Amino acid sequence: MVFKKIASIFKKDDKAENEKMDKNGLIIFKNVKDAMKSEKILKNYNISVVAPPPEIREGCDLAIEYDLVEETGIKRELRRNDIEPLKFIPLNDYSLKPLELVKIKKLDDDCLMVRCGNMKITIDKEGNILNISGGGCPDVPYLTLTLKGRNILEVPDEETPKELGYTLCAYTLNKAFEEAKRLVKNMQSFDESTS
Amino acid sequence: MLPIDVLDVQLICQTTISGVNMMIAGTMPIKSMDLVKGKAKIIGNKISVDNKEFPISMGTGALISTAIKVHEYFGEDLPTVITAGDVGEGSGSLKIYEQLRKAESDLLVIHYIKPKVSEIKKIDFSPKIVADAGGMYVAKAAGIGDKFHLFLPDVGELAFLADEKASHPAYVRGFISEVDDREVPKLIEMAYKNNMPEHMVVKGETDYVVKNGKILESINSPKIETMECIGGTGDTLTGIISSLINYGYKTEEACILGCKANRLLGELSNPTPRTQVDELINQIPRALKALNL
Repeated sequence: MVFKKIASIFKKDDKAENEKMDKNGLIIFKNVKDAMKSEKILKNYNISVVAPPPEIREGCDLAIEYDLVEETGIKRELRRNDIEPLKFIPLNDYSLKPLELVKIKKLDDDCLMVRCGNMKITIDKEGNILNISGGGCPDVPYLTLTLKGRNILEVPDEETPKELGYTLCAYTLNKAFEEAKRLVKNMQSFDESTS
Repeated sequence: MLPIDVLDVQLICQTTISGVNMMIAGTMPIKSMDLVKGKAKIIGNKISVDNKEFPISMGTGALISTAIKVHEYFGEDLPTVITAGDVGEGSGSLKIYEQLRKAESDLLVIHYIKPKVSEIKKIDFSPKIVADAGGMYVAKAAGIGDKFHLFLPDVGELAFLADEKASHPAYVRGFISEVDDREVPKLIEMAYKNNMPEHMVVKGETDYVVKNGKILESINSPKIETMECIGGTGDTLTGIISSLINYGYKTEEACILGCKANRLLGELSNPTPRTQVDELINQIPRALKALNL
């Protein structure tokens, strides 16, 4: 059953991938931090973060897939922000995207665990960060020490996982962090509107 | 109240290999800290290696302190640690990879480390190597899982091992990442189509002890749901199992006992989402005693 499901999805994937190959390219960076920073800088372009091609992949890398038509503007934007990618290459068929699906689990004491991929962040209803778990890259314990015990609404932008982290674990933790922050804001506005 | 079945475990302990010490390799979240190597011990609420102190938080610190507690319980020589500061930029990880090119122990545990396929291929594979966290990610990404002795993925990481294209858990393709927990046996089957180690423990709501792709035992009691959100509970599992292997238990026995002991840490701590991993680590002697070890 699972294998049939996989096979059918492969067929759909193949068609979509072929279409993308004609029009998209990949930006390869020196490190994940530059890639994460570029994702933020290029938010107004038609881009997505993906895995680099296997032949240059080290296991924890990010590349950016972009529309070739936008290459000039993208290069200028990165140059203005002092980011020098290693290279711009046409897209091959190895495009893999990082997980973005976020799942939420309600725990005891009105706490929530927000999970993205292998990373989980647990908050109480006031937004205090109680625990961070999962992951295996070295910035995860660092981010945990930096964030745990603080209120998620009071963490400045420059201290979010996306800004302090270097790896894909930090990237997925940031997705969970952003969703957790959004949930706390919504809960608080809900409480205020009903009080 | 402890369940009867965990008190009823009867396993034969093999003789400890004399003079051979377990080595733990992994980074610490301290900027610019150079390579540190030596016997690890706990002083107060810190780990001390070569007169340098580290926090007992999640990550390699939680694994090291767990291993120390288990070794102390059995009266064994404490484990050796190779560590370096790394906050994700990779410099400390590279120093550790270099140290692993020449084996210095019969049992090596590779833990939090930045995945570098080109570097992991250069290490000495003569010891039994247990890989968790970044150590497991890079072994799989390099396609050399079969050179390792034991992996300890959670269900999400198992999906990564099962996806032959993924180079990191963040890249697991949706149709695999969304597989339900109940389909873990299918994921194990898929993972073992790739290069995998002889032994594997899949940790989660139910823990699965696997040998050569075959599930030997599944453990789901006691069930402490809150443990999932406490950072470091996977690290404690790796620390207990590795230490039991080092003490002389057969790997499959160590895995079964380790899963039971780790669950007992949860039961004995009665955790909430606010509980920190050091509270669980302090329960290790009681958990091992409860298992009649």
